[in-house]
Amino acid sequence: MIVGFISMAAVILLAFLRVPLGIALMTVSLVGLTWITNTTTALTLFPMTVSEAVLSYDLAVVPMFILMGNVISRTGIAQDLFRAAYAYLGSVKGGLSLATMVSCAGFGSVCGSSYATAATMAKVAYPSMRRYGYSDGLASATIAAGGTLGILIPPSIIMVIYGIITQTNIGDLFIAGVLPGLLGLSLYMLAILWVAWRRPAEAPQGQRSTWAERIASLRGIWPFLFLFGVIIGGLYAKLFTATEAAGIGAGMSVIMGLLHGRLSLKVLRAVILETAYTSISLYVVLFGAMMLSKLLTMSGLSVGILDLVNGFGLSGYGLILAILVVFLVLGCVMDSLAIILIFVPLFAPVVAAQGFDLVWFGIIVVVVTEIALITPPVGMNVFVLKAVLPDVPVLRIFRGLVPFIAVDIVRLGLLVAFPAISLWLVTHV
Amino acid sequence: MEFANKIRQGVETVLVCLMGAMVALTFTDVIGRRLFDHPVFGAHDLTEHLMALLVFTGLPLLTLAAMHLKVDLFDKVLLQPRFAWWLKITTLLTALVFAILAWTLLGKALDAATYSEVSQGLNLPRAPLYGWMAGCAALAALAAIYTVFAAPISIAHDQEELL
Repeated sequence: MIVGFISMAAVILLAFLRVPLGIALMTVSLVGLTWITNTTTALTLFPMTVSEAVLSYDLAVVPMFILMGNVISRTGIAQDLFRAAYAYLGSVKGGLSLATMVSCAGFGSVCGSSYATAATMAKVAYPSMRRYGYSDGLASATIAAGGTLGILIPPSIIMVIYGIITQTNIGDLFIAGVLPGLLGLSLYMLAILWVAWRRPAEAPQGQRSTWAERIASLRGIWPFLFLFGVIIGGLYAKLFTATEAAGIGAGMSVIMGLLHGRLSLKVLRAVILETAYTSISLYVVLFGAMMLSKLLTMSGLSVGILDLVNGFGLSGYGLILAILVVFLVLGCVMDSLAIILIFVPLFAPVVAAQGFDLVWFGIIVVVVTEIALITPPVGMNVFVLKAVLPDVPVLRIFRGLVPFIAVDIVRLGLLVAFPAISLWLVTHV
Repeated sequence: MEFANKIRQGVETVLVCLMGAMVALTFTDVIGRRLFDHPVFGAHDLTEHLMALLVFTGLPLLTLAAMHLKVDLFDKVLLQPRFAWWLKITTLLTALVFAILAWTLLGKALDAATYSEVSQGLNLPRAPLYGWMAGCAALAALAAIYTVFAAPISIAHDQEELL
């Protein structure tokens, strides 16, 4: 067990010291496995783990969903979504913020990346909000918070990574993310309405659109709705596995992009190449995470933690609360991917041994890492926005985020207290 | 430099073809299976091989560009010139890990050749694939060593202009 503890500390230290995450995970795992077994076993497990990972059909879901997100991001769907959402919500107080939030959720769901959603929506929605007199704090905070919705509403790369590490069904994780994602969107919208009610000068009304304009605005987003419907419908009806859904999604997005003239072959090549590089760097990290998972199992650290938990008399929910506090604190200084890769292999067996559902735990973990994306001092989405909008002070964005973080904590509490919010759809498929 | 650039572009074209083939294969297989009850024979097997080829063929280039995922919390401190020696050590560690991976994969390739290991669906021999993976991991180790002495190459530049 002591090897497991030292290994965890070493991974965190090396990662903070700028050793590439995958290399830090592989190095520590190799040394740890040599320590608790022998060199021959460690050097046999290494290529075996890598080849199993790279030759896994289920893991092919990673590049294909990334490709789908990258292709869709380049087809101008963000503008179409924003236009449609604005046509329906623009005339309400805070309507532009509400429209931005809805389009963030829509774009983020197919894009799958919080950073890409925040960066794209900053370019699409921020200028309009400023033009209508929205405060820069509310405008930027709306985008930073809206960007986080993408990693919960399926398909989500973070959920894929969680599913791979914990060997949980990725399709079930996607379905489980739907209601908590919609709950998150609703609570964020309530937070905007609250700001608009308390400080009306910060969120004025926009123009009212006619019904003809509203109907016309839907024209641009039907391919998106169709794609989303096929993927989620296919997964829900168990027509596809996650990898098959990813293949269908990637193929359809390329075909639709080319047919609509929104994607040239030159851009398509660049998008595929970008996807390939992203996927390779993720695979290197996954190799390391899978090695670490083996080390933690063999070191007995998870069993040791379970004994500790029982020794302290922590009930099941006490354990969950303790894990959430650890994740929330880590989230203030670490990237969500790093948290999931390093700590989920440690905590998932403990949580499963206490009788909790790993699909539900996955949703909780994703929501916690979402909150981490907008909390100081690291809050990666805030810094992505800062890069796109250099004139807005970071402190003002963080201040604008306070109502969103508050409703996030409420959502986390609801999801922990009522697992059915996450699991109802999964159990009723 | 011109020659190196041509090699890079060649490898990138291979990566695009591998990735494109993987998506086209999965798309065709699922449509064939669900709509026409005619899946592509051996599609799973081929997808797995394409994935392995994609990851390992691109690994040396990714390493040469120093594009591995990092936690950048202390970048403001660690990227200062006085910590250049530490960054070189992290790169050497990367080279060492990839060299060990290459060596152990080579052993796996030799074992696969000895026992005539084949894939489950199409009975494709595994030894050449493991050999290719070992070779690419070795190249990635060399690429890491290169970046200890020279600046990493930029592979994102061309794409950024287009996207």
